[in-house]
Amino acid sequence: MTWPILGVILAIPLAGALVVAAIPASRARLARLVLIGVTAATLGLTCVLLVAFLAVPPLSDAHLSGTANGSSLKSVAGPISFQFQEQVAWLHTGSSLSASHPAFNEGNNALNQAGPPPINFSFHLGVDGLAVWLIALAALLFLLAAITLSRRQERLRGFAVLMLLSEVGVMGVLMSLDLVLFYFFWEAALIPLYFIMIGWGDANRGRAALKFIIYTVAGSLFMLLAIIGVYFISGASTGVYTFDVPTLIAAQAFVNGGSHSVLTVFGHSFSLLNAQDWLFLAFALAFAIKVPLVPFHSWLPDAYSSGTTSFLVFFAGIVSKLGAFGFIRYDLTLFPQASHTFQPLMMGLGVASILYGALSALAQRDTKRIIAFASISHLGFIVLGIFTLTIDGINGAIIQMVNHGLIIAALFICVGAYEARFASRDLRELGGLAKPMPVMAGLFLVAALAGLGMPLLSSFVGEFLTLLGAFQVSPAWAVVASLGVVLACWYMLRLYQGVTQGRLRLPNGEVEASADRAVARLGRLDVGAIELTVLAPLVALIIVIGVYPGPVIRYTRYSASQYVSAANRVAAESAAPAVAGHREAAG
Amino acid sequence: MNPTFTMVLCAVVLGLPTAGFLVNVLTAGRLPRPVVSLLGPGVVLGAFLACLVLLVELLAQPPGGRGITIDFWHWLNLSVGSGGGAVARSGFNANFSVRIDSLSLLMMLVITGIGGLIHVYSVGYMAGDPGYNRFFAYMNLFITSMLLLVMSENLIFLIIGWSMVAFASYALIAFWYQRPTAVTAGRKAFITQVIGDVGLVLGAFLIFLNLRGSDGKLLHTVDLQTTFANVGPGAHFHAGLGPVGGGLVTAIGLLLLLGAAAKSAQWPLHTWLPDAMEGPTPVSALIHAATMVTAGVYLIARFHPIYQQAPVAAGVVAAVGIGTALMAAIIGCTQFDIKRVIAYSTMSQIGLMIFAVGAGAYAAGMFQFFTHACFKALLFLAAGNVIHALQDEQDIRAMGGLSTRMRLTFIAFLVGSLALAGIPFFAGWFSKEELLSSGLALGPAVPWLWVLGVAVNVLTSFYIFRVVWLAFRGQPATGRASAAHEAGMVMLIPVLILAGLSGVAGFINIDFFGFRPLTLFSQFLQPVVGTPVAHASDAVQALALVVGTGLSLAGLGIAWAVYGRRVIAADLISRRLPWLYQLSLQKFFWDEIYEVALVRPALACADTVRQVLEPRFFDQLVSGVRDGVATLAGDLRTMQTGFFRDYSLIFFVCAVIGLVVLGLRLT
Amino acid sequence: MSGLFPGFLTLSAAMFALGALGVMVRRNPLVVFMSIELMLNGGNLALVTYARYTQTMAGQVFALIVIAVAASEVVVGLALITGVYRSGRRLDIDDLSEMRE
Repeated sequence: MTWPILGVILAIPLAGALVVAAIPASRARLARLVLIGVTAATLGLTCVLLVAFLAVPPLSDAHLSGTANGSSLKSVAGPISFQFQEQVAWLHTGSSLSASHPAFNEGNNALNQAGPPPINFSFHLGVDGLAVWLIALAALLFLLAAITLSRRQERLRGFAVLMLLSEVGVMGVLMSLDLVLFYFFWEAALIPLYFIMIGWGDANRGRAALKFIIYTVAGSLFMLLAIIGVYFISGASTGVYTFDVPTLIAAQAFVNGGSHSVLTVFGHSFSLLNAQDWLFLAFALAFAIKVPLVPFHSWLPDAYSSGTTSFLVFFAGIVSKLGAFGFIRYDLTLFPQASHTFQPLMMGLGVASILYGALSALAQRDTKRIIAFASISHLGFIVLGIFTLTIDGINGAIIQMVNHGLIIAALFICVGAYEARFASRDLRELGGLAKPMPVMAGLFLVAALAGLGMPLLSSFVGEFLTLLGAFQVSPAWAVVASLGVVLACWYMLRLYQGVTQGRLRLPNGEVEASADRAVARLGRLDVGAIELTVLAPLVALIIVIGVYPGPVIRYTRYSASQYVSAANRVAAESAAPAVAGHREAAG
Repeated sequence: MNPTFTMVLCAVVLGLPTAGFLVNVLTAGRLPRPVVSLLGPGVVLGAFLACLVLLVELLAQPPGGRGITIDFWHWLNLSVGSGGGAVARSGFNANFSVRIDSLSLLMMLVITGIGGLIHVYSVGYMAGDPGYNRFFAYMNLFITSMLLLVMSENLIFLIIGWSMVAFASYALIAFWYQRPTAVTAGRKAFITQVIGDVGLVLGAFLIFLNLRGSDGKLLHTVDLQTTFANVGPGAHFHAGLGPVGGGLVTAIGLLLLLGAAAKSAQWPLHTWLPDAMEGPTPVSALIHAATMVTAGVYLIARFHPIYQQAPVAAGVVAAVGIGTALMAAIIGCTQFDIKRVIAYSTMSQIGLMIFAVGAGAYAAGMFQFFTHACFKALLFLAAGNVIHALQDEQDIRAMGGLSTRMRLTFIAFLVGSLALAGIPFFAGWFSKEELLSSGLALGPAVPWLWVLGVAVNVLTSFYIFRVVWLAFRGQPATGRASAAHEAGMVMLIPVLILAGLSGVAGFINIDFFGFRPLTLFSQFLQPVVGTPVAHASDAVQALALVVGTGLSLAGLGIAWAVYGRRVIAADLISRRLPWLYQLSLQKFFWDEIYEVALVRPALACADTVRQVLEPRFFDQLVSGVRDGVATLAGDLRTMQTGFFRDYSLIFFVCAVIGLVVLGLRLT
Repeated sequence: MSGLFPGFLTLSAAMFALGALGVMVRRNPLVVFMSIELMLNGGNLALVTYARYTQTMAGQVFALIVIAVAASEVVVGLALITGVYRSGRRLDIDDLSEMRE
């Protein structure tokens, strides 16, 4: 690719935002059309990117599995390969060589001895097999969200501008290969999202937006500190001060970075956290809030239940994946040793999210809150898969990230459609709606079944691989996590049946015969053209990925194996002392 | 066997019902009814014909060569790349391939044959239903899923079929979705099935991660034939799945049993089956009698190489089977809903099959499956005729005197009952006696289980003839019963065909006490499941036969005495042994036990989360931050007096303090 | 000459302290301004004194800058005071307390 496709993908929604802002507020229809056009153009380019990416085959099997004589268990996957890289120097205050480096210091006067190292960061973009699928998913969901956006939406122009800006932010997070740039986009996405949350939605939206912003900003601050920490600590140990992600990964600054100081109490040795551990935790906190994992989840149900459908399609669909993306891209690669140290903790949080989300979903009456907690449960699976640090687990997690985006978007559109018609999200007020709306019920059923992991729908393979990965690390946890599958069946059926099956019931209290008449008076209720336009591609993708997951999985597996080998660079060295330590403790 | 031809036939078998499902779904109910009436049963009967051709082809082979694996599609090939370290595994491969051998073909023939008859019957039974198209869509989907389950050569596709069956059964149980009871029953069935799915998936993990070839290398496969070929102990210490009776193979056996128990409604996952009678009666016949509930039997028969390595697991299977058989038979004696009686009878009969396959009598178990599919589908369909004629009345106390008004249905039901009860020369007699006597010879604990098995015999013939007398003899109890009339031809013909089968199907396998003139069935299955390792001596078998048959007749006699001649009071048990009566009437309280032990705690937990944990704890985290900031700001606000002099005073005081501190540090 | 340095510094400190006191206690904005000027000039005196003491020019330069800043500050301040006066309000800084919370 000779032209900067990633930069163009970022530029289109940004330019689109400016164009929409320039449209007079009275011409809302035009604004909506421009919004759809811009997001469609972005999706088109993203498809070009995807095709170009897939045209470059992953290294051949023989190459990957090392020598031909079947040593398939050896770690031989190369470093993470980023494609379509674009790099423009952004802020350079000098050579990236260390200020405290002897060669650098000799020519300087004594005053500069402790002076700051130069700050270099650049506009560095690139994608790998992890990011490219999420970028495609994001582009699709933004387009669908744009189509879902009602023509009668109040202040449509503002919504459109903010939506396009958040698309820039989300895409930037997925593309950036520089820690500062990543942080910039991470925060930049937050601002329009916050304003959408506070400006559009139900009465609870102010509180929801406040919770969201408090949580995410708190997490981001720790991440900012950690980014600075990475810069200085890796710079001090390798002599190269940089924010550049590929360079940092290649430099392996933290592979053996910092030995644990050991605290001995009554003959038991405890290793204290070293610098790498703290940095890992700071990144992990930001990501865990974004995902969210269980102790940090309380912003999510409010945000999901108060937002408009159009907002939720992209917010629930892609923004929550950014946390999981961050775990894989940054925590695993930058801090391999800490990833192993905290593997039990993170897997535990994943399992806790699975069960807690599932149980909470069972207790909710608000349809959107059920989906919100279901989402927490599903994302728990993703984090569980990531921190198995096995190829199967990470591969399953990547697949699930894409699948979950599709499924949750479809579920929100369905629930939103019922809400739009009957002005209620309360399971106690709805029921039996399959009768007046059979096609809608069918589409809803597919989405709900995908949500509970039905085979031949998309999430089965992902959950299967995730559990397989977890089983390799800890069968007990896999068994506990699979309880989440059983509970998923329960809450998903409760949601689906509550709305579509049972006695026909309307929010105004009419039941059965009288509700029948009321529905008849309402005329044609079943799925409308816009809803069908939006749901059809989602449902089609859910089925296609479910029936034939091969192509997607092959590519994600290649990426997963790269990330696993990045995370396992340390395993060989750290395994030996760990065993020795156990013996010591036992003795 | 010609691979290409077989492949085409398999594609036809799987493709026809799939096509029927897709056409019905994609037309979204707009297809005219006559087309659906042809399409729905047509695709299944077409598949049946293809299965018959397969049968001819299979039988043309010598017994040793009866079995072929056909690869359709490399569905998932993940053996690319690998990660380092101790947790690296080679990739996961799942081919979509089918296995045609006598076991799978037997299942296919029953699924499409009996299933096809039930489809034909449904054309009449569901004629007036507004969801006609949807019904046939689900029925075809069910057939597809079930075929996928039994044909799959790969554990993954077996699981896929397994779960799709669960969904199809859910959709059919909750078919009348505006009935709250049907909705709840469907959900219960689905959740129970998912528990079983989890068992299967975990079992698949164990096999995939641990199976080693004879050279001790990990195979990383879920192909069934490869698994079975390697499961036994090999030359290498680590070969297969570890030593016979080892923890690993036992765990796999028990996990598979979990799956089988969910699907086959065995204790402790049995409670969904009676509730599932909320579905239309053809559904009960198709799913809950002939096919789906026997998937567990198939699973264990299919995985018999593993159970042969795991005697403990096999023993548990046998015990679970016989325990469920006895329990369900006891419950069946006191139920009043005609479909529930047959449902408990199904549970009980399947318990016997599970007992047989657990005890190692695979051919006998599958023979019982075959005859049971005939006579149980017959009973359900005949009951469906009755229910249809009585405008959805299912309580046998409201029936009576139907034998004169519905003569053909009565005869059919009677044949089914005789077959079920194991009265000589009806199909059930051959299979059940063979099952019990061959079970008797296998395993040390089995004689005790056999005693329980023949106890089931008494109960079985008692409860089914209780229905016969209450529903068909005597005087009509209600106006609806006296107004009943015979069903239409489209519903009668399948019933009569099944009645014929139930009458004579047993003769294809006569195998007891040394008298084996005709053992077509055992011979047919022999290439897959082998022959039982031990036979009881002829004398013991003869004794078992006499005792078993005698007890069946005794049950019939008791039912006649109680409900026919009324020489024994019907409330004898309820007066003398009220606890036993209540236990039976209340289905051993399993629903209540699960409600109290599982459902309520889970919901209470969930409610605690919603009402306490979320608002009191997690929300407090956020509002704590918010309130803290607000309080601090409120305190600081009071300093903002607006008086310039105050500000300057504060400023100077602070400056002085700063200077003093600075001065102190410098000195 | 060198003996006089303590005297200059004492004077500077006294000017600064008087100015500070004036800023804190007076209510007429004009007088407050004069007090600020007094403080600034106290600072200037100290700067110049140290400049002489160290025989460098830095202090002188700083003093010039301070004078320039003081001048511009007076311009802004007087403009504000005039504005307040023209709006018909009393010239009392305690009256000008709209900025309180």
